[in-house]
Amino acid sequence: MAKVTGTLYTYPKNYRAYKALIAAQYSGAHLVVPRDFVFGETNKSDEFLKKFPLGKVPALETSKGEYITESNAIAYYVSNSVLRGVTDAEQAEIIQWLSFADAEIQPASSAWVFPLLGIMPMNKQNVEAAKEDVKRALTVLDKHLTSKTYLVGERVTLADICVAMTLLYLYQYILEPSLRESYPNVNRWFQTFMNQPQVLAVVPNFKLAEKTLEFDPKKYAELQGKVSGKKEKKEKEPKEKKPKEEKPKAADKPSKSEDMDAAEAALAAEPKSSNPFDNMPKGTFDMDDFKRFYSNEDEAKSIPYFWTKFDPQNYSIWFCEYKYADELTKTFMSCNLISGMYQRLDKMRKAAFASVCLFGTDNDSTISGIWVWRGQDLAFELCPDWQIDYESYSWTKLDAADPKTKDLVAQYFSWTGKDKDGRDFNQGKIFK
Amino acid sequence: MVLCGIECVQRISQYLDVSPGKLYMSENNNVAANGLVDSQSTEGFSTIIQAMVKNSKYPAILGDDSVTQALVRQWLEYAAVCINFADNSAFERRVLNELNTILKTNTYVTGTKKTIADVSMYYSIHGLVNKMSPQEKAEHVHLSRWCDNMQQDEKLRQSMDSINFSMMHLYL
Repeated sequence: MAKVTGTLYTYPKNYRAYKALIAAQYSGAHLVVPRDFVFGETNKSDEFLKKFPLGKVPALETSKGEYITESNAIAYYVSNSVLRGVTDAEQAEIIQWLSFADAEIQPASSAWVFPLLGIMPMNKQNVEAAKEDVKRALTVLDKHLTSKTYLVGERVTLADICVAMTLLYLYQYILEPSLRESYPNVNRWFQTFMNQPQVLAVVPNFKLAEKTLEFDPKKYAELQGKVSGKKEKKEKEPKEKKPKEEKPKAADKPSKSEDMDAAEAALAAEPKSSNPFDNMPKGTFDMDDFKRFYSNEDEAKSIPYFWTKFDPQNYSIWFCEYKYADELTKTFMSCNLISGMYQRLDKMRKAAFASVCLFGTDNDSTISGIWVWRGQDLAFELCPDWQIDYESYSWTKLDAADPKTKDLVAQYFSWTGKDKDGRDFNQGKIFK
Repeated sequence: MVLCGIECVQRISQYLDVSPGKLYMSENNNVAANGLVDSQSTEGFSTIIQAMVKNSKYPAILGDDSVTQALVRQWLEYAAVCINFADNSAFERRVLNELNTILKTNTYVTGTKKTIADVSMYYSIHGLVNKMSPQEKAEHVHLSRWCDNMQQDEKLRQSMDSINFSMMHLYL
């Protein structure tokens, strides 16, 4: 079976998109999540709606031009045969658990979690009913997992991926120790699943709830302000689909699709996590000023300028080397590797500068470079968004006072010299 | 007879694709190996297993963080001191109950990943689990669950019986 490659459209931290991303980790499918996706804009654009008429995410566009929506379908598509179940009976059981997650867990979980996140109004009756539903679903699951390590068969399948992701918010926000102690088997299974390397690659640093979130009317009012503001704007647009409000509302349980959309909009509207560099002292080194000077002046001037302005108290200089140089082939592909990394690190631009160079020729080349950023530690560890590429490089912190550092900086900033094995400079890229 | 003796070590060495050296029982009734580490003799279950893992292509099976590594050593020690003598029926009950308790909250003996502690335990208690009645299996449901998961790995199971756990559901 050929491995799927494609683009997965989603807003960040979407538990439904996680299903596909985790399945891809297991199968080796290659999914790229576009960084410039803006919820409520990208997925409402004509171009997007032409491919995905419902305008919902996650949505998958494969390299073969296939368009798939609905998280379970996408996760299935990017799975390998082990995840899908080997025998007919296993496959049927897996579908059974996917339906269980969507019908028994998801609505109840949303009805309980979303009011606490401020995404939905607090209606005590609904929440109490949801608690009962969650209890029932977890009891069933706990019984099943008494004698089973994983949901279907004796290894991780799509069933584990989808059920665990549907429980993600419950474990993250609601199920404090006293609420989860009645489900030891589910707890054991969930913890084991979340610690699989393939899952850690997608959902790192997951922590079980220590204390149940409490309803905060202020947060709700704030978020609702944002969401309804957004909606009004959209309704003025002529091409907008019928406003969702016209759908009949279910009396006791809120209708699923409506809430999900409002919820997703609210989640996406949550303020983006602030830039980690903002918490560090700015120091005396003005990154923008240096970048301007570097762009406008010759290196003969800009390198001394760097050293007069550089503030070693609050900034650090690093040397990086690409670890897998023997896998590099065409030079233009290697250059794309560098510019791709720059693109993914967009948020670092504010407080970082780099010159990364390619040395050598096709099939005999190395990549290395000099980075400067705010703070004394490896900056990539500050933000999960920055961790895609950096492990492919080895990182050495340079001592700004060391004359060798001056030489290296001069060499890399001026794009001259050779790599350590004597390959000639081929081309360089500047991160600014 | 002891449960963590020559046969158990041989099976572990097969699983790890390494030679255990020449195995014998020392005068202290401990398993020992000649020629496993250089040309010396090595004595003790835990020591031999750690040496074999280091000789093998699977060093990660000793645990991938320091807590897991410590727990692996703890359980290898437990195997040598407790499971080893569980062929005596009083010990047997205690060991099976203790293992069932630890596996209630842990998928694998040391937590969320399979390690050499699971492998060693599987070989040492296979015989005990195999002779349990369906009711006893149900009484030790967490141990049974773990055992059923372990035996799916054919390389691990080698030529040993696949233990049947289907009847225990009658007693759950």
